[in-house]
Amino acid sequence: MRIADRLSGSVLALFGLLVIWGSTRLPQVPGVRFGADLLPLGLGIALLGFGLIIALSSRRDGRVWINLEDWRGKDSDRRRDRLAAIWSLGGLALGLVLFEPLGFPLYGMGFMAVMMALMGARWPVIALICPGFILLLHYVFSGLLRVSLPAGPLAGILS
Amino acid sequence: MSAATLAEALGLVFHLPVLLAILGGAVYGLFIGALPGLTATMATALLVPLTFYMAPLPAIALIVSSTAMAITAGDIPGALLRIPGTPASAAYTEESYAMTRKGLAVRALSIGFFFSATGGLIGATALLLTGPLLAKLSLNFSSFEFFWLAVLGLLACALVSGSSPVKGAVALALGLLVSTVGLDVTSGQPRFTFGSIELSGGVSFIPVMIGMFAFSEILRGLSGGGTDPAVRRAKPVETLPMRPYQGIFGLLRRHPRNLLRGSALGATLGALPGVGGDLAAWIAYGLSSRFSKTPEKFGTGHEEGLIEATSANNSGLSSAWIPALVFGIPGDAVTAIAVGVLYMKGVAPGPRLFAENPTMPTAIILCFFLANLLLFPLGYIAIRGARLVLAVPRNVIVPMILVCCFLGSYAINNTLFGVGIMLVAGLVGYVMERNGYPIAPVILGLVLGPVLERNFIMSMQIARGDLAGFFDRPVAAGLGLIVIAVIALTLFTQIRKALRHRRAGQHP
Repeated sequence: MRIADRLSGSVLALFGLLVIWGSTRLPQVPGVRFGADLLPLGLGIALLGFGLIIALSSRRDGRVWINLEDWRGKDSDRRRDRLAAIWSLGGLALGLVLFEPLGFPLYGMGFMAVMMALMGARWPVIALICPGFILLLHYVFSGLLRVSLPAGPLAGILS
Repeated sequence: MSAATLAEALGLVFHLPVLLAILGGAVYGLFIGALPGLTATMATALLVPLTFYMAPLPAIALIVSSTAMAITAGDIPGALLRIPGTPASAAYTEESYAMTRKGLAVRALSIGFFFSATGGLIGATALLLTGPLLAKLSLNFSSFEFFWLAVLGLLACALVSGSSPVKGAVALALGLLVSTVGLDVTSGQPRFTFGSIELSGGVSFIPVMIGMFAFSEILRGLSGGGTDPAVRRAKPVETLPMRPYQGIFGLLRRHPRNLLRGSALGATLGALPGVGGDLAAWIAYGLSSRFSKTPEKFGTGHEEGLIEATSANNSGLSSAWIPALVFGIPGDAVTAIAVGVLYMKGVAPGPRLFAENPTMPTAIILCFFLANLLLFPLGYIAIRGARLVLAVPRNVIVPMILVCCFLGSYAINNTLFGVGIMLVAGLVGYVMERNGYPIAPVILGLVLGPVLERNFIMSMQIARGDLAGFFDRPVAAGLGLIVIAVIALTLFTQIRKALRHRRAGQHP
């Protein structure tokens, strides 16, 4: 995904303005001359300045604002990769909701199996690797390193 | 230090429990360091309960050895999967990963282990010979000097990370901005937290690092990232039949300056409490690019920057113990834990330790030598094992990396908040990279932001708002002038380049 410099520069400049506005709204401590707002204010001004430089110095070569060329393509590999990319984002985001109730082993196996399938792995490979890898990770993190991982419905079996 | 002290210390170190502790710590450190998301600090913290049952020297030997190995092993996921193990290794992750993409993973890892070990040995020698002197010098540093050092590190990173210094500066500003989220370092006020308890604790650099380097790389790989389908389908196997450490002495002969400069820089900066170790690798990489005859090769899988930065990394690790041992002032989390363990064992680090019981600190320094020597054989085994990772098919390794990204981001604080941060950082990193904004400065900005802000505010308060105060002290003035010279040189180069382009446009 390529974004034209004049667009990314403008967004940065706007973001800089937002940061400046946000930093002026930070509460001031009475008697403190150099407070919590100093660095964000400086960074906001820097982002505004750099954003304007990027936006104004970009060549007007007629390029589109946002170019999604690298996500296009009709061959089966491209379609498969696109779906895998969507799942990598969606599946991990789903983990924010499902990780605690399902536990790491079930969620991890599910996520990994779908990802492998979308990337074209064969089912026997998926059936062999997913449980093995996830249970090994669970043992290493939870058993050896004492990282508290939720085990979900498998808590009784894995403890 | 007298010969008798050295002989006594050698006798203490070459004792079975100490040697076993060094070996065990190294294997443990290798294991932890190679796992994405697990840090050397976490490795050290996990060892503390074990040290309850150990004598003082084996306990410290265990910590020294595991830290040295964990930090070096952090280069493995960096080189193979683009997941840097530490903020310092983020300085050269792009370079080592670029080597892997060129089919030179074994060479990248060999450079990492060999020059880390050599740099570590040089750092340990510095610790042995100049420890007290360097510690005294670093104690004279005030907030002014620390501020300029932080600025120098940030500048070095922003200027060498990409083709456009303006985009590098934007990345740096974004990293610094993220570091301001949470409680303000001076007044303790919540800043940009939007009422969230998780954001009050600030944004940890581990999930950001995992997201920006690893997750964004996967998105880039799946989107094509400009490569043709045939290249994407190709398995990332080693294309050159190379053994670990093959040709390493040739590199040593070709780049002795990089090794020495990196190690000297690491030994000097590492002694500065708080900033030294991480900063050394970044500045070393920047210096390497500045002094190189082929700066255009940096970022494309070139060995020079890698040699200098990895040497600085481990050299700084050794000298970070200087303030901890000599004055009892821990410079980072690892040495803080080690100082705690020493106190627990009835050994109080500080100047009196060197005066009353010099054998103990000397023995600890000797443990550094042994730990760094162990890096050579264990590195050999690790590199051979790492080659297997490269032979795994893409449709297996990518899902495995994603699960590691999730787990690594979760494990740092045992909250899903880290996973959310990783996802956002990954998306932002992907967009930034595809549009020519380097991502390494974001990480350094995030790590050094609190150091920069704390020292700036403190200095402004001391100088009563007068910026001339930043040039009052001789060392601060020297560092300030270097910073100004670097900025002026960059501006001059950019203007000259722009004028040349314009002239070339007028006279095709």
